[in-house]
Amino acid sequence: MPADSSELTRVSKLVFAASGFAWLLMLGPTGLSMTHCPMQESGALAPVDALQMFLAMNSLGPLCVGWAVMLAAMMLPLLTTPIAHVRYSSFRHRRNRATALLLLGYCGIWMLAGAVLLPLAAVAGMSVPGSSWWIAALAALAITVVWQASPARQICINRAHNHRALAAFGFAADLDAFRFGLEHGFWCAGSCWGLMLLPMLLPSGHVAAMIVAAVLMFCERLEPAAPPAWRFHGIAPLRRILLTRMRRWLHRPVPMRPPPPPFAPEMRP
Amino acid sequence: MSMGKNRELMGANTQPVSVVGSGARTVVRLDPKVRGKVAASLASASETQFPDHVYLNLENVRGVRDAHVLSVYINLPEGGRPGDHPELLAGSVALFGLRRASRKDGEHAGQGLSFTLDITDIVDALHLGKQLNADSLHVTIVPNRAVPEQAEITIGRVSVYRQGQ
Repeated sequence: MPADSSELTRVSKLVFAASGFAWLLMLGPTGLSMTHCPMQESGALAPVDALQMFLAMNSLGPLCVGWAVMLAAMMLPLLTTPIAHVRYSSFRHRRNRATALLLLGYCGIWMLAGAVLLPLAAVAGMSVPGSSWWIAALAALAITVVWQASPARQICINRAHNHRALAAFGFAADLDAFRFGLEHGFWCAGSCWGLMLLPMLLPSGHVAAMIVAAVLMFCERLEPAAPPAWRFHGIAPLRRILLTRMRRWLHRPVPMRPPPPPFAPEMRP
Repeated sequence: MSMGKNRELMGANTQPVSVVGSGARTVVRLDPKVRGKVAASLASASETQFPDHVYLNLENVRGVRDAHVLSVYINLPEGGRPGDHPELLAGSVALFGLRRASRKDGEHAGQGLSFTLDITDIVDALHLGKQLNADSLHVTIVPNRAVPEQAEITIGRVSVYRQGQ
C-alpha cells in the first residue's frame, strides 16, 4: 500500500537529517578506516597472508562502528519509502517499534555483508604492491560496472521495490516488520555491494567516492521497477525531479505533452 | 484516492484473502482505541465540527486475470444476498491492469493493485445503529462473475483507516 505523501515527507526529513549527521561523523574519528601493513608498500601479499594481516591489525569494534556509520550515511536515504510503508501500515502506537524492527533487520543483513566486503577490500588492496593500488581499483571498477548494468542486478532492484502487506497486530506485526527489513536488506545488498566496495579500494578520496556512490544508488531507487535487461542507470531521475521542482518554484509551467489533434471524421462527397 | 493528512490505521485482517468462485469473506479486526476515536468524532459531529472519514483499503491485490469487478460489502449478513443490501455496498473495483501489476519484474514490482473505498457513511450508519462497538467488521468480496481458481486473485491485506479532521 503506497504510503501517504505527508508521512513520506515527514520520514524523508528525518532520514536525510540522520544521514547528514552520519556523513559528518564519517569525516571524524568514527569514520571507517582500515590499517594496512606497511610492508605491503614494497610488495604484494598472498591473499591468505593479507587476510591474516588485516584481521591482526584491525580490531572488530572500530571496524563495526565505522561500517555502521558508513551504512547510515549512504543507505538511509534509500530507506525513505520502506520506512514510510512500515509506519503507514502500523497502528500509531506501534510505528516507532515497527521502524526499529525494520532497521534492525536491514542493518543485520548489511553488517553481515560488511563482514564479507571489508576483508575482501583489504585482501584486494593488499594483493598488489602499494604503488599499484590502481590495479585492484580498476579490476573492482570493471566488475562493478558490469554488475551495475546487469539484468541480475535489475532483479535485485525490482525485489527491493516490492513493499508487501504487513500484519497489524501483535507478534505477527513485529515479525513482519523485521522480516521486511531482512528482505529489503538482502535485495539492497545484492544490488549495491559493488558501489559500497569500490570506494574502499581507493588510497584516498574515500568520502568523495562514497558521495558519488550514494547519489548513484539514490537515483536508481527513484526509478520504478523494470524488466531485467542490460542497461546503465544514471542520475536522470534526480535531474528530472530537480528540474520540475525548480520550474514550480520559479512559477513556470512544467512542459506537457502537446494534446492530440482533434478528431476530424472523413467528409463523404 | 488521495486521503490527505492525519490518517491512521484503525484495523486490519490477519491473513491474505483468496478470491475464488462466488467471492470471499474476511474479518477486519478493529483497534478499540482508534475505533473509540471514530465513535467519539461521530457522536460530536456538527456543522462546524466534521466527523472522521473512514476508508477501507484492499492492499496488494494480485492475480493473473484482469476481467473481474469486485464489489465490497461491509457487515453483509451471513448467507445474505448482496442485492438486498445496497446500503452495505462500500464500492466496486475493476481489476484492469491486475496481471501486469502483479508481475514481479513489472513497473509495480509485483505489488499488484491497491484500492481505497470511502465507507464513512456505512460506519456512520453502524454508529447510529449502535453496532460500531463491535471488535470487527465483516468484509464480503463479491465478484461480478465466478472467479476460477486459475485466476489466482488474492488480496494481501484488507485494512480500515480513519482520517481525522
